[in-house]
Amino acid sequence: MDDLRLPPIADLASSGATRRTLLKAGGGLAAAGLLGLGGASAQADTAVPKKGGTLRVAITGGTAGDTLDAHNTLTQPDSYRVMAMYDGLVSLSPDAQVINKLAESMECDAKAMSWTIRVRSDAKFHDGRPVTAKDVAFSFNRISDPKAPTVGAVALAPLDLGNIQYLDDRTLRIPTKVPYAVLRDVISCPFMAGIVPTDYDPKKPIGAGPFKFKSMTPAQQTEFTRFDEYYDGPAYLDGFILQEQFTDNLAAYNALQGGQVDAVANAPANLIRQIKNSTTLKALLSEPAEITPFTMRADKPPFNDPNVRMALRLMMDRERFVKITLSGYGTVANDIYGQYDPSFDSSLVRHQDLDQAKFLLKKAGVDRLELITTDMANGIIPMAEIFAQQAAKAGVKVQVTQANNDVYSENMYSKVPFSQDFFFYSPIMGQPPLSFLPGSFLNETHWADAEYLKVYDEAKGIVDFGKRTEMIHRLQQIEFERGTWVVPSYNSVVDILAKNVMGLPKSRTGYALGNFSLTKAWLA
Amino acid sequence: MTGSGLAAMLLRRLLLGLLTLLLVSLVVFAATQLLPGDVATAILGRTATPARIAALRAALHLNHAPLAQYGLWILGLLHGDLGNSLVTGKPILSDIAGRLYNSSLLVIITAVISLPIAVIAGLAAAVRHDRATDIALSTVALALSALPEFVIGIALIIVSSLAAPHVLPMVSLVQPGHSPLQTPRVLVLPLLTLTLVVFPYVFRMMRGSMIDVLESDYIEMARLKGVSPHRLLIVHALPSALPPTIQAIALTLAYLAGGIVVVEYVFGYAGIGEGIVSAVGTRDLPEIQDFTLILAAVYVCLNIIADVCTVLLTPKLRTRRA
Amino acid sequence: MTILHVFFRRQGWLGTIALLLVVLVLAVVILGPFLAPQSPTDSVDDVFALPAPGEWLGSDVLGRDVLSRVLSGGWRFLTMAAIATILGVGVGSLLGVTAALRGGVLDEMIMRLADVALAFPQLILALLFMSFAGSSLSLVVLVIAVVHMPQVARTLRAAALKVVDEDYVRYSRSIGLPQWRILLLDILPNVRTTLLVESGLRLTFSIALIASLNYLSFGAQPPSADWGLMIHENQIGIESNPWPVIAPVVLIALLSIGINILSDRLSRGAKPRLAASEPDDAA
Repeated sequence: MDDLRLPPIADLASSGATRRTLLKAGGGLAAAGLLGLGGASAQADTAVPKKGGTLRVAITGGTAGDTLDAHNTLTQPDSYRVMAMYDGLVSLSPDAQVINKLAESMECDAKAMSWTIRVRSDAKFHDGRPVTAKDVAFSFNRISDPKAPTVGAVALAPLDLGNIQYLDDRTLRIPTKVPYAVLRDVISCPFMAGIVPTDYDPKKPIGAGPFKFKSMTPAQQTEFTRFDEYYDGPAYLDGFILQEQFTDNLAAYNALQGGQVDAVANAPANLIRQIKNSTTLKALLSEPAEITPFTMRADKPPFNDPNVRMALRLMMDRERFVKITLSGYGTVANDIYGQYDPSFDSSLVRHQDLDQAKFLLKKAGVDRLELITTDMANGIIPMAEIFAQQAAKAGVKVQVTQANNDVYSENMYSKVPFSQDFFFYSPIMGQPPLSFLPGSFLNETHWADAEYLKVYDEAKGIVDFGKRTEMIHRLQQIEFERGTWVVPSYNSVVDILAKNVMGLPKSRTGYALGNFSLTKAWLA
Repeated sequence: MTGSGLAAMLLRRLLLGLLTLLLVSLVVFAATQLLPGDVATAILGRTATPARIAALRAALHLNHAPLAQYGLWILGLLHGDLGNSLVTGKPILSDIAGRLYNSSLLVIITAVISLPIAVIAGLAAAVRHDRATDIALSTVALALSALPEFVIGIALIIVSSLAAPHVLPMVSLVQPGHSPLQTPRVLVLPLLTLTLVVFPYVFRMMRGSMIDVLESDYIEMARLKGVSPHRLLIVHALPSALPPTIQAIALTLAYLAGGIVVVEYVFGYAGIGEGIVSAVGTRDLPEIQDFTLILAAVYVCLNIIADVCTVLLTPKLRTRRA
Repeated sequence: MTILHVFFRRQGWLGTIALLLVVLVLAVVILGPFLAPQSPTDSVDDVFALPAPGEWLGSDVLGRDVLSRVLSGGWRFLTMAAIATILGVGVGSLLGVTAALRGGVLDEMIMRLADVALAFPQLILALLFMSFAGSSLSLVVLVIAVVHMPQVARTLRAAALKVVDEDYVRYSRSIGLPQWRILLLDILPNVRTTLLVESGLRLTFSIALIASLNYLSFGAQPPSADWGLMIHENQIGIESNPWPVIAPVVLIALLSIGINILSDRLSRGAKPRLAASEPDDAA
């Protein structure tokens, strides 16, 4: 098991590495680049980027509820739409560090009782207006609107938005209700805290991101065009189309082969071998980043019994799981997340223990479970089937029921007792506001562990990195002991690209297409 | 035979067709009544939100008595109001138009390609009755007619991907709002599949009727009179063998109305058949009802046309009826 | 002289080949589960591994042994097809023969109902039923059986009509034999060739329909090994390891072709067979 873990990351974490060394590591990753490339195309990758062209990206998982709203996303395609159109104050770099985006600077005071945020002077919305402090305040208020809170509301809850001070046109100071040192981490997730103008209308969406909205047919396709005045360097592409009309990965992959799209984002890992000798296709492989937890409702039998949750974690053969469901493109995880966070505790390692699993399940009287799931992210269904296979060895028959995406997101998400979900990489402190705090939008396991919540509340106010890391380790310890997720693997995200798609970097955030770096992409 | 007698026959056949359609619509409707308990809950599952159940009840007119539900549905259909999809919430009419177009395109091109081939093969087999050509063609037809449509489709995918990788797309995507004719490549494999699917039917019909004709007395007479073999075949025999073939053509089109379901699914071709499969997958009740009824209507109509053609083109039947 | 020789004499080389095909595939179906070298539902290798000694057809989308899945994947679906055929032909022919025997209102009712059912393409009728009742294996069998009934009823009614006016039937009637005895003793024996041919034809259709439903994933559910489902699951890996698709496709094809040629041979001498349904309701 040990050889499958990530020694460099573990080393970095335990030595409290600086951001700089991490960035260096990221640079190394970027150089490792693309898989399945011949020498010729590797050269082309270093060639001078060409302007123009429209990138057509196939992605599965869309629903009729597809949205363009900056703050209300659910599915994978939703996240990518939002990343294309909106920028946040901060974001994740391809090597999974929190970096400034619209923020020129963003700092809290020594006690973490206020945040001073200064917006870049060159940042503009799609209609040409500059991004101002007022827009930041409006966006934060919209996210936390008590009448219609959005995914990011819990993350912004500690902010005292009623008492914002404007220092100048593009600088604001937001006081906090309680010490809150981790704001940068919690809003780094790019799909929930995009900055929108004060007159924002999701029907005519405007943001400060690299692409402008052109048209959308839900569950079919969304078109975007380049925003020429993008502050961070406009894209080479004239635009891109997100195509969701494919019923499954097979259809999307076939479309790629037929030249009807240029890329399949988040493709099955088992396609990598298939295209190794292809003259027209190549694979872009991320570092292990995405997680696809099995989610167990802590308020519903039998999962309200922590022993049952533990048994399901113990019964898993994680190496085998990675080998089969990810074709080996991933690493073993130990039911916790945030593996690239400097505060990550790499000493928590889960070993398979079938006997103990059987014993616990027998004690709880569990011999049958229904796993209700949907093809929400690549590999989810095979993962469910392998889970069922492994559970059978521990004496539990797991019936896998696959629902349609639409029906699932409408009727089943966060309601069924046992399911699956997917998450992109997040710094450790960024995940609980999404998943585990009271009111969290994506809290599908309805977990409300008093000690966990207390430790989180304490940790979020600690400015000192070393002290906060201790608290974070305690959080991870609790999740490791009695959390509601089984996280068997960190998944490498695979994109299959036509060979003329260039410039996408290697990444480790779990966002497809090299951290969805479409400003870097170009068509040869 | 008098014109009025013919008209009466046509009218009778048409009325019978309408009656069938009415009964078909009743069957489609009655299927919804078979669901145990509350239909809305049965469709949406136990974990459905009350709002969605309410929306579904309204969409299906579930708050009315069964007969009224049926009436409202049919009335809506007659007004061109097909209701809204449960899944997308959009009017089914907007979805169905494109699908109908795509499917008809597939069916018509299939007919245009496959019928001449099958007719000529049928003729060839009849002329060489019980000789090598006939036995070979008949065996091929017999074998093809046994194969499920999807097996033919997948076999073609395998063959094309192994023999000439990446030449033909394995999936036939049609951009929404575009015609498949803009990307004719996507039509190749589905057309080939459907051609192989319908070949045996027309072939056998043509072969059988041609053999009957060639063995008839008047052809024998002509042959004895010394009419040349080609003339014999084309001028004397073919006209008599055509009526059953025209009937076969109409029946083939009707058959295709069902056969496209799996073939469209295999190739991911956005036609009405693929629509039915995905609607069944999502239990999108209004869509299932409308799609099935429309396909059945097409099927019934084509069957009527087949019958009428037969009657019109067969002198014997015409007099018998008159 | 072996049975095969006799068969060859009567049915020719084509019939013999067909028989051998059917026997071969049936052997795979029946003996397969006992011969499977691995568990058909356990992942034993990498995903889509190519054939190798010990894994003669490689592995599938979940790293399961393809050969073991192919060997285990036929019996359930073939049993379903057989039961559906027996049920469909049984009830259908009973309806048809009864209609012919009784005539009148009952006849009219049964035949009009058959007309309505025949106004749907078979697969669509099956899908319609399944969309409301959900998918379970016993339901698939029932649906396929029901879908067969109208055509069987029609064919058997036509065959029985030729018999009901025969002297021996009249005699049986005149001495007041109960109808079920007439049906059983006088009519059934005289329509048995039609019945046999119809059964063969329906079996081919059952196989096609059930395989199609499984392929559309409305029938067999993962992780069970099933030929139709296997094709669906592994279509994405055709270029890595085509065998999990090729093997079931070939087996389904050989079986269908074999049964179809056999029933065609049997029908020779009975009557010339037309593939398309005859529009006899117009008469």
